[in-house]
Amino acid sequence: MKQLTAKRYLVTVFGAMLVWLAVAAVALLVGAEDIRSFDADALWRVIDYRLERVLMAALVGAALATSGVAFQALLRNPLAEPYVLGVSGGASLGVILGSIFLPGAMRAVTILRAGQAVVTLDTVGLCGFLMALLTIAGVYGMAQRRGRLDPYRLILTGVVVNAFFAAAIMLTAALAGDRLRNEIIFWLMGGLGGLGSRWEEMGLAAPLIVAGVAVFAVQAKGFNLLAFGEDTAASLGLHVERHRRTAFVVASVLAGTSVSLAGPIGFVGLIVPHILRMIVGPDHRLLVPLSVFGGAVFLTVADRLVQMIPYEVAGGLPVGVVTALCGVPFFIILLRRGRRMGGGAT
Amino acid sequence: MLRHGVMTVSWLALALALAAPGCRRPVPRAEKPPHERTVVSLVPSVTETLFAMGLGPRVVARSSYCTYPEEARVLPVVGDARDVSFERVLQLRPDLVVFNTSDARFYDRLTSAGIRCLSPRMETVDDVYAVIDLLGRELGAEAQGERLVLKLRSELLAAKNLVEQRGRGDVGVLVTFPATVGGGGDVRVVGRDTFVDELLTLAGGRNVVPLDRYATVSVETVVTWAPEVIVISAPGDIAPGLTDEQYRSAWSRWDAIPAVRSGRVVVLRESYLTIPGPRMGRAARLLVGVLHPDGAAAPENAAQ
Repeated sequence: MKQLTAKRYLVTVFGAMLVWLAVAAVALLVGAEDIRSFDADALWRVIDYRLERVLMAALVGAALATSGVAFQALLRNPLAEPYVLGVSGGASLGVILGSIFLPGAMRAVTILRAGQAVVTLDTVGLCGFLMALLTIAGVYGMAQRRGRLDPYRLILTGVVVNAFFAAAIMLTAALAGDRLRNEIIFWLMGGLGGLGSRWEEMGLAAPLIVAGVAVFAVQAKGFNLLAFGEDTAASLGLHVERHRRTAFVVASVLAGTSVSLAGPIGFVGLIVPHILRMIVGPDHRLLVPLSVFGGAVFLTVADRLVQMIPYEVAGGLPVGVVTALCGVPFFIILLRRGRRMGGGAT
Repeated sequence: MLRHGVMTVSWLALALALAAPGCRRPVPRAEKPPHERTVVSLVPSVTETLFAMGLGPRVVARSSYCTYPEEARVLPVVGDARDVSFERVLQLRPDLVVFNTSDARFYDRLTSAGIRCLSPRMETVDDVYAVIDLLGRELGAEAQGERLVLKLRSELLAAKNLVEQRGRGDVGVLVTFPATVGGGGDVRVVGRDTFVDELLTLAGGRNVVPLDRYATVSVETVVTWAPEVIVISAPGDIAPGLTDEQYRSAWSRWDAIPAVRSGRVVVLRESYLTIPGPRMGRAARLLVGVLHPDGAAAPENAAQ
């Protein structure tokens, strides 16, 4: 591992931030329609709308990519990603059931009223988030043994929980009417929102995601130690169990939050950490901050591409389609290469 | 050993005896006179048409989507858009089955069992007239069919006259299906070459969507189309529990669109707006009220 100097750290992180800012700026200027075709009134609305999407992409991308980094280190498996433990399935089912069964009057709750400004909480997203928390508790309960979290048991539990939620979602879709079923399938592809304003949801999710990233930044050194194996890490002073538990909960909460916001957008959490590892190496002290910007850039670019496909060709394509299409070939290359790319042994 | 062999042979014989009737070529049943024929309708608009022609008593089964009129609900259900129970249809021994074109495999099985099948196109106003005519001939109800066609033609004409009376120029309209799952994505719009498009034109509107059939577009594109009226089609049976205000509020930030600026975003709960059939006269009148409101004649939800 290359020596991490303060200079290298600052240059890399600030460089990544500049790249993101540049991409975000371009993303405000290009979209579904030519920016020059709007009059002054409409122009500000459209910019505001694009800014919302860019920030949504940043939040969701950062949450997924950092969560992916953490899961790969935690499970010591290069193929791990934020959805591997079934949290996304739980959150998805929560959002879908909330969308179908919540009566209109309960769709939003006012959480703050200050003069003219009213802040409301979208309860459909909240359903997803609560289901994610329940799933995390369930997976932990099933995977732990006397408070110990074994990576292999964790993965196996995740596979089963994922299968269960996939079946539950299929059942819901099968019982729903035609139009609702179409919507469910579209939502499951993942998208960054459209018509209605989502600033409030983003405002609520942002502190959670920032806090999660901060926890990983503190844990980064521990992730590096874990790569040498549990015993070595413990002998070097890492409290392995506590570290693992925290990483598991925080990474799962980030995954659940992003699914509640934008649906299960695939592959961001898998390929962004790997791409970054190829560029800067396996040091998590760099990987964690870089994956924040890497995830944001990747998802912003994917969303712009989707938006710029002319509607006569394939209008309204969900962003998850593009990320998955980019992700699958990469996944195959990764498997074929068969060399160590993860935070530890394969 | 021998007993075993005897058993096997007798089982085989029994199986053959049971299977034999099924293997026989179907004998076409004696053709009943048209006015005695019974029918299974698996298409909601056809079911509705049959009842409107006064042929309700001749309908023996329906699909789970055929829920209008109220009398149709008591009929047994033999399938939905995805699957039809061949056995249940056979039990009912109808003379005629009307279904969607998507069920083509089903067609062969029924015709080989001696049951007549129809899968008429029902997408435009003219299709509706043609289907009424066809059902009239098949079921010996030509006179009822002619009466219904006449009634529908006069209703549509009346709607057209109403527009001319009110003397307004054409209005740019966007018809959209709202998203209900997870906050939704882009905007789903109704394009050209649809029944709704035909009705819009008839009701003195101009569909702003330049695309064929149904499409999903970015809201940015809707801004460039600048519709003067936005119609949100949200029948109660599809959209769970949202209020009109909730549907409208999704558009509220887009005051750059003329329809939003002038408050002409209308939520229509009537399912018949998108169903070609005997209620199309009502649908046309509803749209006239929305596009060209005129005091008392305008439905309440048009004047926002």
